[in-house]
Amino acid sequence: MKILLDIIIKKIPGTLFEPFMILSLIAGAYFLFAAWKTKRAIFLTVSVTLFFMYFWRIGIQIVSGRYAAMLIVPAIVLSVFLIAAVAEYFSWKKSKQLFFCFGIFALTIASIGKLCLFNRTADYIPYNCKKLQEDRLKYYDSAVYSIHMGSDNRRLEYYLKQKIIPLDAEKDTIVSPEIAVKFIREMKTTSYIFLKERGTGGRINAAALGLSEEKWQFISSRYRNNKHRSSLSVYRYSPEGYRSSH
Amino acid sequence: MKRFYTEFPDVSMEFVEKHWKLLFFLILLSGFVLRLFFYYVEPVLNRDSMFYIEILNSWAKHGSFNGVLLDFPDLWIPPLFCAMVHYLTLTGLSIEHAGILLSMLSGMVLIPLTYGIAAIFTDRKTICLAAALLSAVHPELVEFSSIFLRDPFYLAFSSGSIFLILRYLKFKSCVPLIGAAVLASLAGNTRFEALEILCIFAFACGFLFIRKEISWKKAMVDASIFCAVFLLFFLLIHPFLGTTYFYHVVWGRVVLYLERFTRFFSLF
Repeated sequence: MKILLDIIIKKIPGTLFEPFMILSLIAGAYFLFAAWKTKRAIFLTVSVTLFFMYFWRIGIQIVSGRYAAMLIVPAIVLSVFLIAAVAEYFSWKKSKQLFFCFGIFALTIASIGKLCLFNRTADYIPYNCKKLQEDRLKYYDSAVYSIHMGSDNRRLEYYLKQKIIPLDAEKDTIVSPEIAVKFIREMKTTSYIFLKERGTGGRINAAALGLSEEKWQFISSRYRNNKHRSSLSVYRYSPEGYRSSH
Repeated sequence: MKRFYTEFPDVSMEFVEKHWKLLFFLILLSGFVLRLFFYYVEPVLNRDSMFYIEILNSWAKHGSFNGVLLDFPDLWIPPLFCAMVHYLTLTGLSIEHAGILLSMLSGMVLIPLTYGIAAIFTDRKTICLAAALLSAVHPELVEFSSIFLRDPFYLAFSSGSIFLILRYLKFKSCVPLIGAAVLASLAGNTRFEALEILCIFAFACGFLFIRKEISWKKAMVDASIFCAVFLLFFLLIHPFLGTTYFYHVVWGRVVLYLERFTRFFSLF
């Protein structure tokens, strides 16, 4: 039941955008009423199809909201029709037009508003990879590790243009200093480490790991999204302390 | 009081009706600018994009899509999107840019398609332009159009197919039906969910017959034409794309969806 609620409340509205989902469902019911009144197949098909498209997605328990993408265009058209149909209940022509314009304007502003919430740090992987490559000029023989990065390892390799050594790659979680130090102890050469940490980057510092500043260096970090709850960070670990390969 | 199912609400505005071509062009332009802007601020590949890039790299390495199975033995995705990106890369574009270009073009096609779907129900340009405007600014459509995913490609085909099914519903002619079946098969070769278009067509054909708008003979002929054209294009496109591995995949997915439906009904 929890999964079904997640699909109905989060996944489908997340893709359709909540105002369009609500308006399209009301419009679907209105089309059903129109089909009953006029006996026309086109209205019956539109309403039955809409509800069918919603229900089979809930039925097979879609794993991603993207599976509901096909509903977007019908939802947009039905939302516009509903606004036009409600506008019809105003008696003056000017008031009908004003209501319709206001409805479309509100939906447009809401859509652009949601677009403005784009992820301002979406480039957190390319950014950190670039910083690593810049620092790596001094340590060309170093290895690159990632801890608990899950499927993000593919993106790291793509942007880094080299193989990385994933540690515990099945997990895709925030790394604590205790977990980090467990893996770091195994590293015998100068290594770069990608990991996700809570909040601002650089918190897994030398003091938190019980290492000297020479051995553990913070390279770069960037928030993963606008919520600023976690960051992707890169550190350099030099078992023998600071030394350049040159 | 008029009802929209007898006569569509008259919310049309003289200025909009008169200059609809200019306004439509401006909507298309704003949609394109928004998509470009979104790509500019989030020019990053997401997790799923990496999967397609790996497949395309493998295709380039092996020289054929069937060779991709050596690297991805459990590959199940329909191949049309990857095939189109692969053929675009032959023009010299990188895989990433070819994918984004395809997404953006497909995303742009959705704007006139939304206009067209609305125009089936009403000849009021104001309403159709409003629908086009909302599809130009819809946050998910903008996002889909600026990332390397097969979703916009699939949406363009499936929405095109729905548009033609609606034209069939309105005019009861076989011509849009053939186009709808071709587009549905292309959508099905991009994402399996597009097979729902078969159900949508079944509703359309069935309700036309139930409401006595067409005879049972016409319903049978139309259904046969749709299914034949759909199957023909769905299956016979693969030798041309070089993706015959897909025949093995189709049956596996049919079984999987049957299992999912059984699980859903067992909830009750």
